[in-house]
Amino acid sequence: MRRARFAAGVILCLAILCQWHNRDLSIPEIAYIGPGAGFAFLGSFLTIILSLLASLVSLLVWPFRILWLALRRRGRFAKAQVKKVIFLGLDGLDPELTERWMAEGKLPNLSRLRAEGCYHRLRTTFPPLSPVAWSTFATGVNPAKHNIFDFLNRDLRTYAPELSSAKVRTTTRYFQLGPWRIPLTKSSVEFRRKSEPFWKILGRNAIGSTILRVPITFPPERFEGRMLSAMSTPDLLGTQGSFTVFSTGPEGMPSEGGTRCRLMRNGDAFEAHVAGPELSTVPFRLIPTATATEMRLEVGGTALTVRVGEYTPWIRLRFRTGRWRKTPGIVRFLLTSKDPEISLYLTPVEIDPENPALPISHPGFYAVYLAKLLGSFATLGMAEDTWALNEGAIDEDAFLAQAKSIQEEREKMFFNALDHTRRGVVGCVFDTTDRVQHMFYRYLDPAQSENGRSRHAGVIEALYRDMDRVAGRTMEYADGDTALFVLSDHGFCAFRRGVNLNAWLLRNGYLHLKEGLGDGAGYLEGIDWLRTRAYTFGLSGIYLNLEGREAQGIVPKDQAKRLKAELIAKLAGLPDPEQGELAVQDVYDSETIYQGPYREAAPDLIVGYASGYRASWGAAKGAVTTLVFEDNAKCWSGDHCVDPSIVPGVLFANRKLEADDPGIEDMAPTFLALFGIAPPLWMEGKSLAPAA
Amino acid sequence: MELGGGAFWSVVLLGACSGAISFLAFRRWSDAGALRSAGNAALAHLLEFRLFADEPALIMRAQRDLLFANGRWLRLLLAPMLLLSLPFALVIAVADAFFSRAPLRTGEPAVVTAHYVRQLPDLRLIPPDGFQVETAPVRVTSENEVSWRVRPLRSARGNLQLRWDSRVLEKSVVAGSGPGWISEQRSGSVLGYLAHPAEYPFRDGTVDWVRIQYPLATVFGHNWLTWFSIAACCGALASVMRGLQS
Repeated sequence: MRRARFAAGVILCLAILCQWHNRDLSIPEIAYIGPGAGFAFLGSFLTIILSLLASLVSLLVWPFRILWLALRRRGRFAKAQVKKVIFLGLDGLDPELTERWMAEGKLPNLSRLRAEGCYHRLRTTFPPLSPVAWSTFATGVNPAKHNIFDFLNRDLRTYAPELSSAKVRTTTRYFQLGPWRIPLTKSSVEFRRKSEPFWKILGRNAIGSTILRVPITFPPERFEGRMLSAMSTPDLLGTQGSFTVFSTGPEGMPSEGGTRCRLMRNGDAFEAHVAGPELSTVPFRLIPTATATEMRLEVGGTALTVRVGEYTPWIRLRFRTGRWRKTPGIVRFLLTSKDPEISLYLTPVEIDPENPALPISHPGFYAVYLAKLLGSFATLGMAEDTWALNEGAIDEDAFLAQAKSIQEEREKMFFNALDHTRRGVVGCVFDTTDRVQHMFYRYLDPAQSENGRSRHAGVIEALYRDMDRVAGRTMEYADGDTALFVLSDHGFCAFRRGVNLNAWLLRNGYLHLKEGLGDGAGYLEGIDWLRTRAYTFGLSGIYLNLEGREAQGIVPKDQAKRLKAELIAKLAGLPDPEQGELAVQDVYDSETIYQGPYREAAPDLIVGYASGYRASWGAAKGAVTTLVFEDNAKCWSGDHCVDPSIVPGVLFANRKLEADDPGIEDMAPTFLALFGIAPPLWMEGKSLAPAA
Repeated sequence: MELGGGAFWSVVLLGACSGAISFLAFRRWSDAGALRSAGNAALAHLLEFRLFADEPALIMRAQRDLLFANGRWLRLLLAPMLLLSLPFALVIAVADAFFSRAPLRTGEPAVVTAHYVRQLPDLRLIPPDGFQVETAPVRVTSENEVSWRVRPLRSARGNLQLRWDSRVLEKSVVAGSGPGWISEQRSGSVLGYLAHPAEYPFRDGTVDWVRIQYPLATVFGHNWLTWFSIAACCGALASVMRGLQS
């Protein structure tokens, strides 16, 4: 459609131009020297004329805009301490590691920032998960006020899992007119994070912000500023990232995080299809070459050479999702092996930032702007493909190459935003720190067998050094009128053993399975709800099967408090009998740690696992296994879904802060106070900025 | 004067072929990746006008960057443009001679004007067979021009002769209906010839040019270039689509 509109536009412009020529036809051949040249000149000059007009209008309107801004800002800046606030979010940057490497002189820029300003450990949220913590960072409130308690929540009518941050509702009602299907309702994306982030409050006070990749910002909200969505942005299949492995070899194990497909031989070439939205596909061909490590890839009108171990650039694919509709997406291929079997890894099909199928930025064209200026970029919420590494679809080198390239994309965006901001807030969250620590922590952990053996043993240290470099580069943008913050939402620790609390609840009589169905390997599968009093899924919560709340709830409301106390007494301090270690440090009643209108949606209990433990992979997806404790055998060997006291984040600032025990909820009020805006009464955090 | 369906289809065919050839030439002689990158940069800088509307310094910077991106774009297009401009100038000149003017209509007068460098008191116009000069020369001395009214008596083609002293200068003239090779002006200079290439220039230092006021021709109510441009766009786009599919 865009191409057709563009073509119509070009034809219209040429027709107008030719009509203009009709006025004097004495020398038409001078005015027109051929279609190619005509297109080029016309396009170029139209652009120049448009831009000149736009700058003229901008200059003419500017005094009025400034006047209007001045009227809106009247008196607002009287108490402002800064002109600009920069925050650099380093997801999961651990205070212990940071302090150790600062002491060893390996992080010179962060050390300098600490010396010139301050450094604190930053208290995180219950539970210490990125979606929860960054939502608290943005809103300055506890989870019961912003409604994000975990990655997942459940539908109380069906117990079915739902993404806690957003829900994409596709059109289900159509009017069939011959071959055409006309949608009767519009697809929509519901944003489930409540409360108000600080950038909206600043915007109301005529202070603009550029917010890049802060988790739980999909779909993007309207405010005065620019935003690029991050964590919870889905791929085109509607998942949080599903890779595909195409192979000529045996099918292999079924995959949890992706799909495995066969490459079919057709003559000299190998063929398969990339799966897109609404069952659409795009075919591709892989043609062997004489070189041992190269093949020729033909896909979506693009032909390129792929080399073993080398990612292709982003490739745009257009999936036919209707008679007249094509949905654009972007992918990258990686040839992981050519001999003896061909194996080709494909990233999840991500939303194309140049032509987004779903809103991923505010304003909508901001993503287009970034893609046009800086090149295409990963748009998926969790773009680093941890599942592909977990399942051996890619190796550690390929994962690191992917993470590095994604970080480079974000770095370019962040520094572009810094280059374009004189006043207001600029911030970006880099989550490579989180993903790489998740996947490589086993090389740091003395208790894990792989410690120090791999050539990747120094990956996390190298990553911290690289982040120190980014911090140093950011410091160059911080003058006397700028407040700079470098912070993380939580720290990290090892994940050696998984705990399946559904299994524990089953053993202790709180959860029952339907007879004859065996153990429930799937999400809350086989649970006899009419006899079950408590269950778990997600990374840290236990839910009561509460009467009047859950569809088949059996626990009367007046017995809930007693049941929670009973579970807390039994679970707090739960040991791992096989290892002789503490598995659960503490369990918290959500009524005591959360206050707010959405507390009903929260888990009833929050489990604070001890260091080295976490909800097992099965428990996280609601499975009821036979074993309560199991070894974590995946590459995903570091985590932070433990007791919040174990994994605080870090906070660096280029100025002294009034902070005895700073928490992540204090950041939003601090930013507001720095601009002289009193934090709203509903915000729970306290400003750390010294009084002006 | 309306040239009709035959002329329309000729123009459309010519335009579509030109468009397709343009596409092929641009694909062959330009760096598509660099062009896309320059075009993307230009569009991004245009978007900056909206994104940073409150910051005049950024708008000015966007303007500068846009000019650079445009310059780069044009530089990348230079080679195919230069290569295409010569053949297309030729094609357009030939097509213009056929489709932009209609022959003089039988019985309807037309004005013939000659522009001279110095006064030529004995300048005379001799019509070919089938044409009649109706008036004595009318001189506009301030403009160095002299004009006659000529009337075609029947469909005919020939050369008007301008005579002075012992010298003779010829200019083709056509009367009748339908499209045909029509030269509106014959020039005595290289620049004049480039502007009106339908007839060879003459070598004479006394007369600059001789012009006949032919009636305008239209193809379905529009100048032929309108249809040519549309057909060229369609031809180029069809080639782009075909190129993408293959």
